[in-house]
Amino acid sequence: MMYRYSEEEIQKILNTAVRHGGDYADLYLSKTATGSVSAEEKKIRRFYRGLDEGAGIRVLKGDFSAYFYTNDISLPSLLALAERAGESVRGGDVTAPAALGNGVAVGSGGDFDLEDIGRRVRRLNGEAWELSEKIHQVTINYGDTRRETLMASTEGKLIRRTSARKRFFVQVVAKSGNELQTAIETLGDTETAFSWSDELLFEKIRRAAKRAERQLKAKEAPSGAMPVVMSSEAGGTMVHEACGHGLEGDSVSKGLSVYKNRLGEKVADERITVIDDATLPSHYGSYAYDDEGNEGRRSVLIKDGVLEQYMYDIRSSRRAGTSSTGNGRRESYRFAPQVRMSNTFIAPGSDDPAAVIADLKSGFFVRKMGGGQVNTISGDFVFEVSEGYLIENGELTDLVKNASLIGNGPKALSSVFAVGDDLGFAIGTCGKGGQSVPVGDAQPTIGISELVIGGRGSR
Amino acid sequence: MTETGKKKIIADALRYALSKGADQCEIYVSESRSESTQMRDGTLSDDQTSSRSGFSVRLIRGGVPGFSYGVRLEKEPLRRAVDDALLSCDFLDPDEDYHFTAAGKAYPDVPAVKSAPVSVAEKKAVLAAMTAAAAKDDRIRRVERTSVSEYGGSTLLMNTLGLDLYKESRFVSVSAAVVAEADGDEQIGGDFQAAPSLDRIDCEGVASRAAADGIEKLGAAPTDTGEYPVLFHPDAALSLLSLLLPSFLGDRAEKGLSVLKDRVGERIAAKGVFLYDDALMAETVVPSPFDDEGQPCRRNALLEDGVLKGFLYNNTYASRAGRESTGNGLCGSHKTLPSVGLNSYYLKKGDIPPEKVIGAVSDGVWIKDLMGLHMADPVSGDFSLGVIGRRIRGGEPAEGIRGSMAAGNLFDLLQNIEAVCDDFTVVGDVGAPSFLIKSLKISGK
Repeated sequence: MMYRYSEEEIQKILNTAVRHGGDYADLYLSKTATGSVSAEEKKIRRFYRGLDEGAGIRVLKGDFSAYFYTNDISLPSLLALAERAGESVRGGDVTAPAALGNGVAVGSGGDFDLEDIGRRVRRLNGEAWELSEKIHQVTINYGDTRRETLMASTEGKLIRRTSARKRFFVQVVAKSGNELQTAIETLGDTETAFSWSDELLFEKIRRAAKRAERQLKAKEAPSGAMPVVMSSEAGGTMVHEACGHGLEGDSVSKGLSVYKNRLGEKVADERITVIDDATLPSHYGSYAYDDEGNEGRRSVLIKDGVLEQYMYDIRSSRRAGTSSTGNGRRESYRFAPQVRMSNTFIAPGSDDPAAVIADLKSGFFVRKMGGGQVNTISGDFVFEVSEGYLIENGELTDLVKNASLIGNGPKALSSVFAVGDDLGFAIGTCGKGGQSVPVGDAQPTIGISELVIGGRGSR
Repeated sequence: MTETGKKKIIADALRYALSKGADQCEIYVSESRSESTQMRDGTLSDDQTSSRSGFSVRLIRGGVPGFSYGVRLEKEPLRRAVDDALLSCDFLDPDEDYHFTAAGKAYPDVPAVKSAPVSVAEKKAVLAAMTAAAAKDDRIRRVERTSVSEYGGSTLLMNTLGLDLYKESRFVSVSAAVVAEADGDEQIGGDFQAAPSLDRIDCEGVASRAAADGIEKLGAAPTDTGEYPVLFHPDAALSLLSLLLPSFLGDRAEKGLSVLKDRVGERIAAKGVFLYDDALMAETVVPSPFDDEGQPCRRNALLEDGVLKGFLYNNTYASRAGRESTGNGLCGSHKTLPSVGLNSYYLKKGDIPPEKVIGAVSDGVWIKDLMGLHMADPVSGDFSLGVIGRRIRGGEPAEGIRGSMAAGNLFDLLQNIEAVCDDFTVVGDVGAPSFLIKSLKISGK
C-alpha cells in the first residue's frame, strides 16, 4: 500500500485527536488517480491524468463534530491537524481510545489503460455522427477513478480499501429548424477491469441519438394531476427522491423528515418494499466498506408498505442511540461523512407490466426519468421526464416533451395501484450538502394513481 | 512555502517542459483555506477547517494542448505532471485556437480586502444572536442551523510567455435554517449572505429572513392549473438566470448549443432588461483582476434594453469566434482546463417597487423558490419546475402554494418581462431584482 504510516503512528494521530476530551475520532486518508477522456466537436478535447491526495480528521463529542482536512499528508502535518481538531472539543473527561485491531484490507488495485479507452472514444464519437443527419452535437465523456483509502478510528478500526469507479456519459443534441433537443445516456460500474464492449457503448450512443431525434417531433406535455405509470427502464429517481432521502438518519434524527417517528407504521402501499443494497456486485453505488470503515450492507427500509428501518452513519446513529448501517459516505477527504444511499430500489412485485398500461383508460407513461429533488420535511419531490407518452384507452399514444412531475413521497407510495414483476437499474450522481456521490437506483414498472404533471399543454 | 519559493519551483518546471519538447507551458497554482462554525438550536454543533492546494500543468506541443494536475508543489511531482501532460499530447487532437496569455496586459485595480480573521468568541456571539433572532416567532420549532464561514484563497499563474500573476481573495458567509411548524405542517426556511467581511453582513437579518421564509411556507397547497401573470422573487429570479446564462457562453454558441448564436444586435428580451457579467461588480464577494488564463477581467454587457450585446469568451473560443477574450477563462479547480465560465453576474434593477406590481395583479402567482433546477434544458430553454410561493388575489398576497409546477421557455419568458422591480438583491456574488412575467403555465390541482 501507498501509506507508509505504521500502526503506532496512526494510533498516535488518533490519541492526539481525542486528548482534549473528544469521545470519538477518525482519520480518513486517500489518494485518488483520475483518468479522463472527452470528445466534442468531432475531436478529442480532453485526455488527462491527475492525482489528488489528502486527509481528514474528525473528532466527535456528544453531538458536536469537528472536521479538519488538509492535503499535506506528512506525519507532522497530520499530528498538527489532529491537535487542532482535538482542541475544538476541549473540556470534559478524556476517553482512552481503543487499540487498533487487526487491519482489514479490501479491494484490488489495478490501473486504467487510458490510451485504449481514448482510441475507443475517438472511434465511437466518429461513428456517432454518422447515425443521423439531425445530429447537431455529440459529447462523450469517460471518467475513471482509482482510490486508495486508509480509515482508522478510536473504536479500533483500521481499514485499507482500494476501489475503482468508471463512468461513461454520452449527450446527443439533435436539431430541426430552430429546435434543439438533448438526450443523455450513462453507464457506470465499480469493476477494476474495463469490461464494456464497443457494442454496448455504441448501443448507449444510439439510444441517446434516437431519443433526441424523436423528441424533435414530440408534443408539449399535458398539465395537471393524472395517473402515472413508470417503466422499469425509467431508472429509480422516483424512489430515490420520494422516500430514499427521507429515510436518511441525519434528516430523521434532526426531525427534518416526513418519515420521522414512523418506524413500524404503514407508510406505503403493501405492494411496496424498498431496499438499499451496497453489496450488489459491481453496481455503481456499491462498496465493500463505507467511508467511515463500516461494512456496506443490504438494508430493507420498507417491507410490504411498513417502515422497517432508517439508514445511518456514525454521527446520526449516535444521536438516535443506534448503530451505523454502513451508509456513511463522502465525496472525498475534503468532506465529513453524511448519511447517503448506495443502490436503492423498489423490489419487483407480481403485476404484468404490459397489463398495467392496458388497464388504464387515460394517464401518463414515463419511459425514462432524468434528475430529481426532494424537500425531506414535507416529502414533496420532483423528477424530470426524459421520455414520456400519453396513455389513452390502454395504449401509448403521443410522445410528449418538457414534462416534470411533482408528488409527495408518502402520498405517492400509498396510492400505488400496480407493481410490475420486472426491475431495471440506472446510475446517478446524488448531491447533498455540497457533496456528490455515485449511486444506483431501480424500480419495477409502477403505477401511481395521481401525480401532477407540469407541462405546457392542456390536460 | 513563500511566494518566491513557489515561483522558483514553477520556473524550474517551465524550463523542464521546454527541454522535454513543449513549445509553451503554463502552471496554475491555487490555494484555499476555510473555517466554518455552526450552531444547532444555540449549541455549537460543527467546526470545519480546511486547507487545500493544487496545481495544473498546461502546455502546448506541436499545436496540441496537454494537461495534467497534482497536489504537491515540489520539484519532482511537478516534473512528473509535466511528463504526464506531454504524454497526453500524444493522444489529443491539435487545437490551433488554444493559446496562452502573454505578459504585458493592463489589469484593473481591485480593492484589497483587509479584514481581520473572526475570533471564536466573536463567531459564538454572532451565532447566538442569530439563533435568538430566528426563534422570535412561536411558530419556529427549531433553529436547525446558524453558521459563519470564512474563506481565503490565492492564485498564482506563470507561463513561458513571461506571464507572472498573483491574486488573493477573501470573504465571509453567513447562513441560517429553521423549522417552522403550525397545525401539524412543518417547513424549512433558510437564508444566506456573503460579503468581503463579517461587518458588512446583517447577520440577524439573515436569521430573521430564514424564519420568515419558513413561516411563509406553512399551510401551502397545490393551486389550480392555469395560466397566470407571475412575479418572480429575487431568489427565484436568480435561479432562472442561472439557467439562462449558459446560453451567453461563447463556447456553447460555437458548439451550436446556444439558441442565441448569430443573434447579436437583435432584441431578444423585453425593453428595460439589462444583464451583465461583471467580475469587478462593486458588491461582489471576490472582485477579480484577472481570470484563470491571466486575461484582465471587466464588465461585459450581455443584454442592454433587451438587445443581445455579445457572448463571453476564454482564449480558445475567442480565437474560434475571431474575437478577444472577455476575461471569462475559468476553471472550477486546478483539476480542469479553463473553459468559458461566468464571473459575477446581475440583472439591473428597475424602478417599480414589488408591492406596486402585486397591487396591480388581480389574479396571479408569486414564485419565491423553484425546485429541481437541474431538470431544465439549458439548450432549448424549456423548463418544468416545482414552485413554492403564494397566490396573488385582488392585488394582495394570498394563500401559499406548493406541490405545483411552472412550465415554459426561458427565451419566451425574457420577451414577456412586463416589469423589473427596484428590490435588487445580491446573494453571494450574483444579483437580481424581482420581475413580472405576463403569463406562465402553472400546473397543480
